[in-house]
Amino acid sequence: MKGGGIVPAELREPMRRAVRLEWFNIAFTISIIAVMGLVLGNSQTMKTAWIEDTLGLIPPIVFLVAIHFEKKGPTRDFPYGFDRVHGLAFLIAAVALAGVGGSLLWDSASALIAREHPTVASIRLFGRDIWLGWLMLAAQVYSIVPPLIIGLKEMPLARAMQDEVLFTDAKMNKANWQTGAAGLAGIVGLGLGWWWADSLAAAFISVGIIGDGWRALRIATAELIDGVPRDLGTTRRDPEAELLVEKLHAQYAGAESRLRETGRYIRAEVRGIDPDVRQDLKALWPGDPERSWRLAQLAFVPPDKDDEEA
Amino acid sequence: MKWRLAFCATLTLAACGRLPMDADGTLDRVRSERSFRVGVIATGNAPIGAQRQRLFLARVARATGARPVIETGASEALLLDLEDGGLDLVIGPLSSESPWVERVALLEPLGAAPGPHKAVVTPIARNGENRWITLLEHEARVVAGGAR
Repeated sequence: MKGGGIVPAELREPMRRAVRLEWFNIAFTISIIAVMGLVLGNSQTMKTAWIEDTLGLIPPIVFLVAIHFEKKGPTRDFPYGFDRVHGLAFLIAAVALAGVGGSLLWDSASALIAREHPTVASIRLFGRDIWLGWLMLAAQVYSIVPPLIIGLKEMPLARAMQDEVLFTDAKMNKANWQTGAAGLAGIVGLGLGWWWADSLAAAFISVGIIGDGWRALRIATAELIDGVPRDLGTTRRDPEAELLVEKLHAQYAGAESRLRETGRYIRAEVRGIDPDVRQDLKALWPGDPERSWRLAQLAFVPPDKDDEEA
Repeated sequence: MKWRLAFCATLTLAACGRLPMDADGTLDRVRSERSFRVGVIATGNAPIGAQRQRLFLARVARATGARPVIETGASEALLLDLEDGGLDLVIGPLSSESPWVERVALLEPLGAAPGPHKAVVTPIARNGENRWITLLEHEARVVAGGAR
């Protein structure tokens, strides 16, 4: 049987590439965390951007863990396989993102209200005094480039695999230049003597983090409580799934057809008729044939006795 | 495109020398008024590191072309005055565990003070006066390094 947790052949290559990409992502993110950590100083902007970079580790780790389980296939204790580990891990990550974003926003807002003037002093490097702000700017520039490239490479893989975690990671990485730009503006503003620039930039970055968390939370919730399949990275209904449900309605008139999503796969259920024996799931898929693997299961629920009497 | 690039490069170079600036313009004011206001934290005993303090103030005076106006007092009063902008600089021992550490900027210490509290004689400036702080820090490093 398909959809019992065995990874379809079409997915093996993109999955392998995505896993490699995510290991690169983790390595670069750790290097960014290290570089930013060296020059944090007293800047609220730097602290917020640094925490955001650290949070950037969550999606690749979630992805690698989820793929590890998904490849394992079903076990005796988990006969449906681990397709939904994605959703679960995603929910945890979403809550963490929103929580940390909220606390960072609180920090920067209270610094603004208290009119705190951030001190960024100098350090002695190679016998010269260098304003730490210059090193902060250099670190910020470094923190922009790798995520931008990785994000661009992730996007097509996420679409091919219909992978919410990878897609969110790609979007977060691509949006990272905004954090970087806000961070640069914050430090330059601080250098120009605008005490409020630092906290304002930090607030801007934390609002972005909260937004990421909120979106991820909505997507994960829709999957975990068996909502209809959603379009990647949004809470809109998936157009291909809509076509499928229309097709099922036409084919099994009088029965109730419904779809749900388990990770990247779609499971269909037709209620109220006797099982139809001949099934070709690939042929049933109304969308792009290359994506027909998405329909992993078609289940029939025969009418029970009460239904017939009614 | 070329002139734009040149413009940006010039701007960056110009900015290099100008950043950081003071949030409240302390260094500009010190230079134009030719004086800066210093609070020296009174200690019960003989002033600690008095010689280094003198040397440090003399160096700051030379670098800014301004003259120090010194008053002596209790740390709390001086630091409150510094926070409000009534003083430009406070010098004295301040424990790194003091609650003041968050409210004012402790710079590079001029030297360790004897005593059980691990206090060091430190120039202390107002938060956010980053250009002034950078200048003070440079002089403090020279004084601390030269005395070693």
